[in-house]
Amino acid sequence: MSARVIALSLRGIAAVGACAVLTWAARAAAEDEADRFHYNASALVTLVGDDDPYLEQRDEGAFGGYLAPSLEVGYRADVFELNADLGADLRRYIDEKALSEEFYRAIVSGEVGILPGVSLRVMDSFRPEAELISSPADATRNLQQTNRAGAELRFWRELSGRRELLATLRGSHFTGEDFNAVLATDGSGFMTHLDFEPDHAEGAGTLEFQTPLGERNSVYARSELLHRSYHETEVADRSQFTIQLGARTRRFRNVEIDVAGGFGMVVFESRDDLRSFVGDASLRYRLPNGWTWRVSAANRFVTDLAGSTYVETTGRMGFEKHFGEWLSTSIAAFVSQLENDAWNLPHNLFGGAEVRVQSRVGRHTTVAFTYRYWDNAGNYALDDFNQDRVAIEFFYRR
Amino acid sequence: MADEPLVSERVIDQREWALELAFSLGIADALGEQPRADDVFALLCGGRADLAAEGGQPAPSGAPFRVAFDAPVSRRLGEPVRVVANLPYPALYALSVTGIGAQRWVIDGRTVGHVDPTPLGVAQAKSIVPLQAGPHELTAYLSHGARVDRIELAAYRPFCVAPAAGWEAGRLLTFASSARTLVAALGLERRLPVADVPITIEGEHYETVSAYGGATNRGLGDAASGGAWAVAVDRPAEFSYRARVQQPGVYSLIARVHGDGDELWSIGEDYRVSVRPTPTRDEFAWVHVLTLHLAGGEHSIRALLPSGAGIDTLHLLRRRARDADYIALLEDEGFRSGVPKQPVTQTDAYRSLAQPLFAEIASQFLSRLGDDFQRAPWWVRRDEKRAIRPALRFATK
Repeated sequence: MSARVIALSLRGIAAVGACAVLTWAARAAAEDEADRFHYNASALVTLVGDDDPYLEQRDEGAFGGYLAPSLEVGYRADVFELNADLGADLRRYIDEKALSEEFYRAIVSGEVGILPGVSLRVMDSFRPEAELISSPADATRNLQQTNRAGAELRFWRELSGRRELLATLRGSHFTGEDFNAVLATDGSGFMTHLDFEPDHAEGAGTLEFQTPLGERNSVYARSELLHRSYHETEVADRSQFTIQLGARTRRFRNVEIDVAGGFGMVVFESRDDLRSFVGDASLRYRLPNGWTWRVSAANRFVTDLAGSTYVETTGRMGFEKHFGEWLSTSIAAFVSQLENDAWNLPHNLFGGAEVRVQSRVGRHTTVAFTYRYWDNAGNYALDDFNQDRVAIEFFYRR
Repeated sequence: MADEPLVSERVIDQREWALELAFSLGIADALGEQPRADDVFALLCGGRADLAAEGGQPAPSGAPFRVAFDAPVSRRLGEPVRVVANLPYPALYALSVTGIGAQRWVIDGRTVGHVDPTPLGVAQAKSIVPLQAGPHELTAYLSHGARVDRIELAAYRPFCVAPAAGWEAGRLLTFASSARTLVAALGLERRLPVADVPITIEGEHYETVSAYGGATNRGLGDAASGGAWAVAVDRPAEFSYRARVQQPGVYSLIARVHGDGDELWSIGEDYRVSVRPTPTRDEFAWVHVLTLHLAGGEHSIRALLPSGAGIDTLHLLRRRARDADYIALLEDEGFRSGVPKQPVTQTDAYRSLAQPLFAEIASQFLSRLGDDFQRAPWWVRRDEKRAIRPALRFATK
């Protein structure tokens, strides 16, 4: 972890301390207001067997164990709310010291109501984030410690006929560890940038309007304007605009449908613009026998930690079955394609499937078994790999 | 920063929430196209739209609607029994039949179950059915030798979902009200923590008993508390008890019983449930009868047992039922919550209704309601036994 990230995260840790002191003080000062104070402690122990932990098509498997203690504290008053989420993720592998790493999480946020319908939220989020979109987001080799500090101003108003208007303005500053980044280059594929600093500043605004159509139906319009500027390179600096129209319905019991579609454009400082249809569609259907199935598709802009931007087309489907309250199982699969035709980049295709069986074995304890297969293929061969991973999780929360 | 598409930040009122609950539980068919708020509230609380708050707990006032018929006598052999009940409000209704022999009951063409009143003389159908206000046809198909003497349709008061101060159409929904109604709708009140030492009544200390019932000191495989217990000898028998509740609140009635077959328990005039204890040959078993809101004062408890069955002890366990207890219970079950007095937005409400636990229970809500609605995990049963154990006075065999 670089000294720069540690220094930045100290603000967050200081804020955590302040938050904890404030909440405990508030609790002590007003015992009758104890309901406003909440905390949860949890621990997740994971035993992992992975046949490709390096995500590099090596013939080297590894077994490991993760320990992830966590503490959430918060205080909710009438006009403000403070929350802190602290945790660590300590990972150790047998005979694979290069894989053993530690990640930390300190997410502190405060929200205050300024006027009716107007609120300000400030947050500092020190946590690991995935470097590559096409690799598992929880893989040790795909995680980088990052810090994002930001603020968001929200304005919400209910109009006549239960129509709603929501406008937000947000700004943030992102800091990450240096890493060897694979950067997309215009027309020539990819290049490796040694010790890339993903630091950037971002500003965004959204405007949403929603109107009901009878009981449990609504249509909405949503637009977003975002600008991001990187400190180290101007190549990835961009302004992004999307506008979508959507509809959702819960008209039928056990069925939820949400469909939205529109247009998006990314304007880069020094490269060709990226234009695409953007949209989402999802259907969730719960059968009377306890089976739930979901199917969804999305087409959207995504950006990895190195700032490379793609149009991602994803299809997902999954089944979930509860056997009473104490046992559940789920099967999920997805396939995604990343493309950036404006820069003539090769298409990257990846997908995966996961089976999970979960059981609650006590008031506060859950045990889960997960098998996941992940395959990264497509025209961009450099990051191809396939991975089988099994995990047994023991989760305790109170 | 949260970047989810808008669902709705509009704060919802209690009528809207009640309607969403009824819809999600699959009982909204009992409401018309444009239901009145009182109808929705009545559907969610055994026919009571108006609840009087007492000690911070909802205490349903007045008896639930109940209509009874003597079976028509001018009936040809093999012809089904048919009666028409006119119901004043939409509610979940329970059907009870007095008579003998196996019979299949249908309401408005929908089978509500097979009942056999032979062991007790009366039986309550397992299915609890949501019915609209207005006339409904009840039909029974009888097996050879079966007979119907009396039919009763009553609003099912054991299912009562309401905020602490009762429902009010225009009032904003708070997290406290949301938590109380969700816990009640999911049948989770039995999982609230035990508050104090239970009220214990020895089975043999009944106030009244019908013919064929009495006290015995007959020894079983495990000892009876106090050395004696109440038993129905040779025929079904009804025992009645009186319990004095000092503090209004949420109580669980848990009994230590012996025997096999359905038992019919009632508390006051409002609450009647059919329970089937785990069959035991030569010992006592614990059975959870009902968890309900009780006002302060005296309450009568009656138990109609089949031949050979008996009661060793009854325990009324008071549960902690502050707003914070309901919210903590839901958070333990994976629901997100907020400050008790904080209003609930439509997004918060939809998130609650989309919770896996809610979806699981709601998907089988009606089939579970008349059966094992108050089924509890082992740690809840363990806590109950720990609370009850000091109150037991074991006698040597």
